Amino acid sequence: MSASEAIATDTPRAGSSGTGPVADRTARSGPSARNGTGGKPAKRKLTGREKRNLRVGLLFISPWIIGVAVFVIYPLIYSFVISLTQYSGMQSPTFIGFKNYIAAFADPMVHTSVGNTVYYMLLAVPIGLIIALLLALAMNRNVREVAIYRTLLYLPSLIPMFAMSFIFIVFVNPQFGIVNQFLGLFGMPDTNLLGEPRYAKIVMIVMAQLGAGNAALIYLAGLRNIPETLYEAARIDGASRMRQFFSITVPLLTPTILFNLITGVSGAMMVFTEAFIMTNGGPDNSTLFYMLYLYRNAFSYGQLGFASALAVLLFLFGMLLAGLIYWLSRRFVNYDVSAG
Amino acid sequence: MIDRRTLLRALGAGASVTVAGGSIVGCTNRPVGDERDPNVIKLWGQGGTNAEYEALIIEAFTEKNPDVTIQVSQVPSNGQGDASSAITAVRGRTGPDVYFVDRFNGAQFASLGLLEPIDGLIEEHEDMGVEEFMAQWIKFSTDELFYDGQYYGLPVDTDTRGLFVNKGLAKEAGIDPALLDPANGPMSYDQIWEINDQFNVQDDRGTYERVTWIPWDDQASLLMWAMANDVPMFSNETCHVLLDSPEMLDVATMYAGWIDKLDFPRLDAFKATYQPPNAPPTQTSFFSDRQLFQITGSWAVKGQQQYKPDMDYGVTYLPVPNEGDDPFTWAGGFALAMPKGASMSKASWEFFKFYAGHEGQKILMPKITNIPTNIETLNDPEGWSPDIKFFVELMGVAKSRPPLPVGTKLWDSMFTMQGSINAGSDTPENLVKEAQQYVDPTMQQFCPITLPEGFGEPDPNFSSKDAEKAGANS
Amino acid sequence: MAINTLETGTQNLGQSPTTIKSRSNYGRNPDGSRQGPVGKWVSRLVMLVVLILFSLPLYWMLISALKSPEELAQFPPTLFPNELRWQNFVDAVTVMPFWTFFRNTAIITISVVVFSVVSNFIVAFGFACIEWPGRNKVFFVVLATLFLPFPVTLIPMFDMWAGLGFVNTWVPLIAPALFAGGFFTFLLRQFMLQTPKDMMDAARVDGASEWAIAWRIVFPTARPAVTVIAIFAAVGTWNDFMGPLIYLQDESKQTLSIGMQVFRSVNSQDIQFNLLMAASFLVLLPLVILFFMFQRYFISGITLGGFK
Repeated sequence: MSASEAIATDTPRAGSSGTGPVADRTARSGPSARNGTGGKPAKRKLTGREKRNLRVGLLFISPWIIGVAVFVIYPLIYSFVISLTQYSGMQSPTFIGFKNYIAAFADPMVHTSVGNTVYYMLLAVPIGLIIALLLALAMNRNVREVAIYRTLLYLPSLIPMFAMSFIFIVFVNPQFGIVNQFLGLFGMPDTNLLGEPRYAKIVMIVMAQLGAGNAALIYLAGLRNIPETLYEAARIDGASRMRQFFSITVPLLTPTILFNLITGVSGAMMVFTEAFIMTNGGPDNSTLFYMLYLYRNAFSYGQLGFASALAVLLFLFGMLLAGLIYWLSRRFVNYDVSAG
Repeated sequence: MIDRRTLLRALGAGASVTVAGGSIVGCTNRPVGDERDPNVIKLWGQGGTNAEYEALIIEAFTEKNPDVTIQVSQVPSNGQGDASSAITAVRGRTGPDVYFVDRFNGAQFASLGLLEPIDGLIEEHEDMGVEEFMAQWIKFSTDELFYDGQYYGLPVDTDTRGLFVNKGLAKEAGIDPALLDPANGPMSYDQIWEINDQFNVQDDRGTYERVTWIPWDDQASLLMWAMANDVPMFSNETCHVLLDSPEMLDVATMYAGWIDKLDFPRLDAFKATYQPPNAPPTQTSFFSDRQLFQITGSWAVKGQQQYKPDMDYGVTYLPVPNEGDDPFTWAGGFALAMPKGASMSKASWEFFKFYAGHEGQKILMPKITNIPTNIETLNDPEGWSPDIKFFVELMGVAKSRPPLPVGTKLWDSMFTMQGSINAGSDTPENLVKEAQQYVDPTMQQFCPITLPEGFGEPDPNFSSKDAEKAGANS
Repeated sequence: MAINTLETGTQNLGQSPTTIKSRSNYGRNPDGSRQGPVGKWVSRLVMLVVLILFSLPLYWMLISALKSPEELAQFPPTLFPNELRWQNFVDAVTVMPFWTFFRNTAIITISVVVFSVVSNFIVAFGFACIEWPGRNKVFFVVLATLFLPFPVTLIPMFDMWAGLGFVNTWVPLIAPALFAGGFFTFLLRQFMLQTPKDMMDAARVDGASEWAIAWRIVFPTARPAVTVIAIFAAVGTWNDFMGPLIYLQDESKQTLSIGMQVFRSVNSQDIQFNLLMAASFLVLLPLVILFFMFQRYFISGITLGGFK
């Protein structure tokens, strides 16, 4: 890729001060052009300046390179190697080939935990995306008390999951839990929500929404980067607020939505602490999430080989999802006018 | 080109080398001598209020051995069989010298390589053989610490379970006192159900206001009912766990019937209402006169004295399948062990022996209202609280869980089955099969293995004579 | 309710995002109020309900921390304590070595924050401000690491630190911060892409080294984003559960989150919920203070821009 292209794609804001969307769009024609030409230009001989930049650039990112080697690549290989053994962590491992993987596919608990995790992911991630967006819209309002909104909506995100779980155990108590009293208004009998397989996961999904403040901050950043001129133009055209939201805000937020989607999905894949503290996987294994089952195998049953196989499978699943999201983003994510 | 087989072999070799390298680094014993003071003993001890009583043992020991220092830490555990702290500490060579563990996990921890056998220490420091030395403790309790031909710890306490009766409520409801008198033997399930139908009160929305019993609450569990019905759990002959046996299916079906009758969600809501998870210990459905029977263990006697001293309560046998059946209970308890990397010094052995032996147990047991496993302490008039006489006598009939290297998994699978039956999510037929499928493949990793003769059955060494003798104490 | 919030919210989305300076005037959109006064009050009412919902956990934590055990068990629960027991806070810090845990947590957190800021800034500079061939492809790897589930690394990392003899020290908790991570590098890089190119180029023409450019020109302008990652790092480390659980055993080295876990498990028979909540509140307090101090940066410091 040529240097000028790189500048065009990577420095969208340079020199675009005060320019409207049209100018922005031209400046940002970079990505599609780049994607089109693929890696072809890279084969061209590097200029002296590029060589120097490559050297310096690599030097600057060298901490990250070391980090990836030590904290990502090495553990991945190590996990894979262990996953081929029967290993308690204390005695020497015995090589057993792919038996752990075969066992994982046959294990009913793996099926249960995958089902629970996917269920959690399919509900918690989309709901989280919407709630966080609503919070961001509230945090972005033009009212005097906006600082209070921001503070109060973000504060629950600071509460450690540990403490939050304990608070929630009481919130959903059948007798004096606020949630049950509220549901009681609609005629629901006293129910131990955490004791019912149908509801226990729902409680955790709802609880996760209180931590939406972090994703909301990211949205807020995205919202504030949408040029006001677009809304002005839309207003002149007589577009309703709803219309503005769906034709301007949402499309221009797609990169932000994508980012929150990625962090949301990867968080949902690893959901652990709530279930660990509130239900320990129960009732009837309805909150036995994948991560909890992995932890149990590693540290309660001392089956590190099997647990490593589960970890490797989780990694593969994550990569698959990453690929899927990347593919979706190529189709739906709008980079053109997203300033920043 | 590399064919699949060569590739696998290469990977295998790589795996063994990498991991073996890791474990050599991770698991070498800590050096004794120069770097470590053999007279400083690191103890991962008991939690909660029991830590105070443990401190009394330490005090008594250090008084006699002033040159020894005991450093105590309390390590968080996340439930049944959770060895994460120990595994990580041992691998990091920062583990304790003496480790207080749930005895049921003894065989499992030993099979993981987490614990050191103590046979060597006995041979080195005691003038008797290993078997003779271990015979100073009740047999079932040392059986639980026996794995692959060696002992992995010394037993501390044991406990038995009984049916606590709120006598005030019983009187009020007009229940025949003769039924509740242990002198007349245990009640049958049918008799419990008769009381249940007479005693339970539900309001018009179906919410329970008072209940007779909860067959999954506290110490009651499907696992317990299986033991009560003589369901075999493991076969020494075939080295298979037997969770899908016809006997297990019968018990699971019976239990499912109970759940149907009791209406699980309502009863669960009752429990969560009157005994919420973070309630103070004084606030239980039993203490607040809403529950007639509570199935719990000898340690609860202490709680009863502490939290509801004025309550008119009694203890009788757990219910049995049929009228006239012999009484039933089961015993568990804790032990001391030495994890890999422990100093195994003479001082730590002395402390080990003191804590689990006559002197230590005599200090601890009356305070925690549990039963000594040390036979000398059991026969000592001051070895245990006179208030638990009934529980000590129960030792003659007490069964125990099979000390398997997959103990935690077996335990989990039984509670999973219980949860599924409670939730009505599957049939007992499928559930017993699932449980078997969950535990047995892991079990096969450890086969062949033979459990000690008569495992799980009442201790033959604890004859009724012992019980009488013990009974004579109080 | 949702629609209402949506409508009222969208009207003044963002302002001209062009210069870094203008971003700090958040919430003061000049052409703001197009909504009638009635609509404004309706939406305020809706907001009030939402705010109450979001404040409940914190409120409940605080009142539970101030109740006596007897009042805590009372049914129905009191919405405001009959008697404020400040003593609970004193008890909570004496029942466990709270200040030792506090000091340990603070040392670990401060180290992690400093190291994270430095390492992530250097790496983000390498990705954002130096044009080297292939950097976008490498940056894609940074994004990919966001997807790496931490359990994959849990066991191998533990073995590595154990092999190096660093278990039961703070090294495994602090050292990884030296090597930059996907999320922070990403946030910083996106923000730093906005740094005016001409300033950097001018400095280059004057012969300034990249190192000097990084710290003298880019760092000051990137301060909002740096603050955000510092706070994210602080919150993450302060509340970290798994790390100390696995790596620390000695009480004298333990952190607050695990200290509280011990507090809970040690008292599992007679857990004192009011003390637990009091301790939780004290744990939370420094984070809340930090949040209030740097609140304004939260809004201006995050930029995502295009994903590339």
